[in-house]
Amino acid sequence: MLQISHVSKRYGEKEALRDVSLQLSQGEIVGLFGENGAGKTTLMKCILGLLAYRGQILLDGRPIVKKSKARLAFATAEHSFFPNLTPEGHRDFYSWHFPEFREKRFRGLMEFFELPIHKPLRSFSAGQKNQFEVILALCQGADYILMDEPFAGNDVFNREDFYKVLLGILEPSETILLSTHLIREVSGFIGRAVLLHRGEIAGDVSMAQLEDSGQSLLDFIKCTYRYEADRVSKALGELAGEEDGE
Amino acid sequence: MSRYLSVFALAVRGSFYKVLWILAAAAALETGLFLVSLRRGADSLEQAVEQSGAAYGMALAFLAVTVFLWRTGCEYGSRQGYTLRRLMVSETAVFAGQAVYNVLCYLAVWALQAGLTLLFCRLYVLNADPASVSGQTVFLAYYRSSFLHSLLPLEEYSVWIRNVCLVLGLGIGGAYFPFRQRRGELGLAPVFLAAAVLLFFCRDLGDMGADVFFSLVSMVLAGYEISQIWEIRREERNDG
Repeated sequence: MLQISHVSKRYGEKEALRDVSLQLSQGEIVGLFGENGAGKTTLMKCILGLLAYRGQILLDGRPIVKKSKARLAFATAEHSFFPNLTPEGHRDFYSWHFPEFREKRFRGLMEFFELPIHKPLRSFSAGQKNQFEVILALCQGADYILMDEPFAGNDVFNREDFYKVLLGILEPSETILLSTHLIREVSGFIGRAVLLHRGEIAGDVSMAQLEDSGQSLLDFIKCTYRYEADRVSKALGELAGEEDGE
Repeated sequence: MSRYLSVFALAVRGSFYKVLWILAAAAALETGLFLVSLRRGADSLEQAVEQSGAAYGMALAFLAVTVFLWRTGCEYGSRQGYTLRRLMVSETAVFAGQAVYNVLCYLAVWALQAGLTLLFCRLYVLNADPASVSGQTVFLAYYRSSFLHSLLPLEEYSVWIRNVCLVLGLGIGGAYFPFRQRRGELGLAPVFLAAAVLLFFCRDLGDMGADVFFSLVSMVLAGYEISQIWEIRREERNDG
């Protein structure tokens, strides 16, 4: 279990995370939602130990140390692969550094997405780079796979394929924390939704609970954020009124 | 062990072929220029080398190699630092691996240039009027020409020491630069050393003071860079 307790993070004056507490059990697929700047990426970087923070993050009851970092994988829209290396080079490199690397899964996914194995990553298209980033994270052999907007730039069919593949290949021990703005798309894929708002947990609900209440994920998010549906029309009306007044 | 070799290989894969191409191009260019210089005629070996512009060829090769070596490990189009910080080996080991590789590349630049100048000597002796060539021709040229002397300083040990210090300083600096760049910072200390090498590498015989100065500057900068990395990693460990 990944246990995040009272985690806070500041960037100078700005408080990016405020007293965030969250538990991720093994096997869960959790969607992490929030407006831009809500703290989604910051939370993931804190979990991965890439950022300093106040509070405590425990993996199976123990602090995350060098040895246990291999149990966490990361796929990001910024990409974290080595552009000069080929996929084959990455496979070798990851096999050396992550003993649980899933070679069979790597081969299968490379074939499924028809990615060239001998070309350096820098020559890949933007969509292919995203695909490879996710493939690497899925094949590292980690128990907790953190994904930060991994499909930004991929077309809708490609994303659809990925959701299906993910559901098909994930083992019961593998947990996914997926940060995305594609709410409707992932609603059928995730089992739980966590909402961050201005650095704080604003909502945490399972999809089963939502189903029971007859609410869609998007409605739940709008409701939690107190989103005013008529906000735009009001603003436009005011603007039109001002112009008429002039 | 293979983990450490793999991070060393990361640096190699990033620039090995580029460095090889640069060295091959430099060798072809400088040899061509020297042959032209021989045709134009020269009173001495050192004059033939000087008017060939081989020193500028070396400067260009040095500059190009430096750019490619220092770019390796920088984050362009990917935040590879995220992965490097999650490996079983520390990022300090990644830095050390890159530094060793850089030192080997700078040694290759030096060896190529030294080898080329020896080839030029051979070509000159074969083509020159036998009456103007003696057993001392090559030996004296390496004392008279500041370029030749700085490459192969014979018994002036202070230049040998300076060259070794420069190679070490440049190698370490070339690993320090991307280490800082991955953190969104500019590690400019090694840039000054590279500029000093470009401007002051060729120096006349007997200037021991300058050799001591450059050796010290190179080692002080390398020490500063290593201490900076140590400090940054310590802070990150404490923070993380």
